[in-house]
Amino acid sequence: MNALKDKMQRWILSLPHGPAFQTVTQHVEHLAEQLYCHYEPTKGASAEFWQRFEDWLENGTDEAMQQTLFRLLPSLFFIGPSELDNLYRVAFNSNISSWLIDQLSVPLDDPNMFGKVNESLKHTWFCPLTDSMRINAFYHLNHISGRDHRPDWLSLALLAEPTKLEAFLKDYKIERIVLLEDFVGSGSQIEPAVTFAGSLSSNLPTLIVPLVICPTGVDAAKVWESSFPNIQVRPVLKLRNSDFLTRVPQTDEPPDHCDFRQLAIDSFPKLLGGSTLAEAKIYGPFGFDDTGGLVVLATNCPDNTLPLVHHGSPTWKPLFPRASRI
Amino acid sequence: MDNRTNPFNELYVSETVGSSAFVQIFSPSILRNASALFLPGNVVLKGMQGSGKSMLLSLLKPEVRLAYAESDTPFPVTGKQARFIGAGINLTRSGAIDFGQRTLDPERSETEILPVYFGDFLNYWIVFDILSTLELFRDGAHGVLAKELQLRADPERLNAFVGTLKNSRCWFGYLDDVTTYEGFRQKLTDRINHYLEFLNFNSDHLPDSIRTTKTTVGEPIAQTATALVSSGVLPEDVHLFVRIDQYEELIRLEGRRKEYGSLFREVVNKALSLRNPNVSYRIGTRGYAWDEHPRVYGTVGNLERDRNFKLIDLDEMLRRRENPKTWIFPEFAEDVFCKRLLFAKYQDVPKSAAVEKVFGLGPTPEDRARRYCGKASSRAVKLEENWPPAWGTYLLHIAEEDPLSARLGEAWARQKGKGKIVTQQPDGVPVWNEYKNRYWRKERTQAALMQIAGRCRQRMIWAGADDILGLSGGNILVFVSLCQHIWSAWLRTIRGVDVEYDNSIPALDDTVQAVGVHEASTHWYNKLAEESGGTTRQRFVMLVATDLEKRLYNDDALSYPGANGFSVTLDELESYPHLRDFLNECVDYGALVDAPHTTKETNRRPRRKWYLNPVLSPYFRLPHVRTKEPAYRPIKDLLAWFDAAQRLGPQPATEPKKTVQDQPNLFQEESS
Repeated sequence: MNALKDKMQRWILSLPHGPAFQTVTQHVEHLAEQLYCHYEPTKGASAEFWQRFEDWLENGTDEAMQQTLFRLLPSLFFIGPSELDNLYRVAFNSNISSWLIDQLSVPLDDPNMFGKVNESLKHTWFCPLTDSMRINAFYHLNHISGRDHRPDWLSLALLAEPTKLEAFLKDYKIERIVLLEDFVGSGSQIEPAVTFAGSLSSNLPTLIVPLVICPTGVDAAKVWESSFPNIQVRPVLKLRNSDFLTRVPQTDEPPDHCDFRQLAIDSFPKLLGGSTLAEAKIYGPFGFDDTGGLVVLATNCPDNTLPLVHHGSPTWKPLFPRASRI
Repeated sequence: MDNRTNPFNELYVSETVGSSAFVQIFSPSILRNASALFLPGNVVLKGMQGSGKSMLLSLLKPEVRLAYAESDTPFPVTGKQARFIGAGINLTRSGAIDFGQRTLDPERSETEILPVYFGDFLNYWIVFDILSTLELFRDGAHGVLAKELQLRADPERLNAFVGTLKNSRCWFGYLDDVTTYEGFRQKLTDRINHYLEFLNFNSDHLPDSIRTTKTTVGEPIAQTATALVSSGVLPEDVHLFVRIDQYEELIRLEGRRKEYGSLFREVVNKALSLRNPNVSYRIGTRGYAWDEHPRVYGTVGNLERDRNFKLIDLDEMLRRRENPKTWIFPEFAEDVFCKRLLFAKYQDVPKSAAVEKVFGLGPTPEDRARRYCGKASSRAVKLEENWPPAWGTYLLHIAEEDPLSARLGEAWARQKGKGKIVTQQPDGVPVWNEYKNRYWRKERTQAALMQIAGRCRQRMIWAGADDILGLSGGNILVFVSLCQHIWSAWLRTIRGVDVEYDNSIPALDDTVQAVGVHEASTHWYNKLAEESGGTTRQRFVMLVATDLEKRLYNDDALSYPGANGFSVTLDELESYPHLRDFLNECVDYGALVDAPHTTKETNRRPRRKWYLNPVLSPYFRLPHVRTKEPAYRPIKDLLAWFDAAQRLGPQPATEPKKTVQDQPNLFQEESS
């Protein structure tokens, strides 16, 4: 471990990348204290961040690869608990409120506009699309009350009897539904839930609110909106194409992405550690659906983020180990 | 003690550290050269940010004095010099600087009336603060200080003091209805509150009771001091020091208030011109913020140095001199360093040379060169094609053991009149290493190291007590900041190592120091942009440093090893006052350091030279050591840098381009 520390000092004192390494070091120091320490899958009996960080760099087979891993770290978009809280608030105060105003057709100069919107909350059902969305926190942060049942709709799509659900909606005088999800990649995971919501005979107006969405998810959302007239999708934070490390270079990508792409490809055999893709339960060097995501949520690492960030094998130690469903 | 805490985390002792911590951290070693601060007579304490002005002035604060008394720590000033009480005003925090943001009297010229109100506010604030000091001394530290200074602030005496004071003509009748000390205090509070309410737009007018009783700046303060003595509250030998903090903020007022700023300074200067035997003023200011000939409000006269005030120039006092034995900064820094370590509960702090114990002596120049080269020593030298192969082989052979010597040999061969050496290789000690050429070698060592590092694609190493002190440039804030970053870099290396209860002071590795120094340097470079006009100064420094670095790096013959600074003639500079003022600002804000330059030119025209603030040198890969002559630059070079720095700055708002409207006019144009 000391050898790596010595090496990092040497990198900082070299040219031409020394000043950049120095900046990365300070950046990582800051984020480790502010954000990385909140990564939930490593709470408890897991190595703390700095230990994982050193192990992760040691994955690199040579200094050049280690340096590229090091430089990659600031490109990760880590969404910590405070950022998630803010996304919950923005989702409610902006995306959902404006949708409700549209739904209620309240004129903006109506002096009682806020009263009417608040009243409409009694007839609006806020649910998660999957169990990764912390719907409880969303309710608490936005002071929403009055609903005991907040099932995730992916489970409902699999387990619920539509007629019973329709009866529930009627009994509880639910006039509209808002379905939230913390992170939407390509949209394939939540698709059954969206289809289920769009196919209900009650045809209630339904808003899908992804807190963070990838460009492929935005495309999927357009298809949902055109397939189900009662569904609208209003994401809070849309990631740009340049936020992804795609297999094929993009014209507007940051210059470092060229090195990072090669890193993802070169490190992949070591990452697999002799297993097949199926055995390793990963999809390829660029993650699920070749998305090449660089996003890490404090709650978990999405599977469309680069596996070199979250995947562990006998020959590869992850920086943010993913709590996998599969 | 947890060894993972950084003893240097808190950079500013006087502003953020509480009074009790101040007692433990304050270094009295600077006082030896600033004794005028505790003697009667006005004092202007001048120095750039972090030079220690606020720290010194804090000793005049009653809270700090009380903290010493409460902690049983001897006050750093003793004897007659300790017989004082302090009061003061912070021009920013008090709201005094807000004068001018609201029209006081629409019927009168603001420039005529504003300074009077400003002076009146100053008077009342300071008098109120004098009372607060008396009460603090009376009630605090179990009366120890009151006893020591023989203050007698009992109610009868205070009432007698008010009885004497209220009759003075300086108040213009404002205190006529006051009968007790409490009433006096309340009256002062009311007046200050009226001012603040008005300045903050919480009231429509200043009351008539203020409009008709405006006082002359300094006079009520002088009368208060006299009355305190005559009524027996204050013994005759106890002096009153009045601090004026943030004086330089008056220069930074912008727009219409810029004009008021200079008037306000004249008002403060007027207080200094009064020369009362019981009251002295203490002003802390950045170097060039203090005019050479400060004007006095309402007169055509100026304050005269040594007659109206004494000047303590901290930058000058702490600046490195030719003779290192007369340089007082290392002792000051050593004391600050030890106190910080002791405050952080390190227990084996040596009584002397703690800085050297922690930072060591640093690598020798030869070692530095070897480290830059690593295994590729040949990169230290650049051979000319027309040189005999034997000479090349000779230099490369030397480089294997001593790359610095090889680089100096290369330079020797390139210098005028020395080129024949390429055909006459020395048998023994190379000529450039001979004793008689020791100065030639010494003067070129830093530039040679800089070039070797560059050729080997390495950043230069700054490590060891000498380097740390040198980079501090006589500025204690920079020194503490360097220590802070080095300590942080060291703490990173012990992450995961169980040192929780280890309280021994570390001997820090050169590499750790080098990393910390580069971080500190980057921090100071980024910090340049922080204050008003900072981005222009930052860009100017970038342009200057890049130019200097390029020239120095490409000087293969090492003919101009002192070109890490530049010099221009004063007469040329005086022709461009905006450039002169800008350079002065750069010095005040710690971007550059300046000094008179004794020219070697035959015309003997007086010159001034500038260098980067030493702490910025690592960021720009320039040696911080000054040697030989700086680069003589024509004024047009400076103008070009200045112009480029400004051009890259925020552009004045331009008229938005007119867009072509394809929408028809709402009203038909009438046809003629």
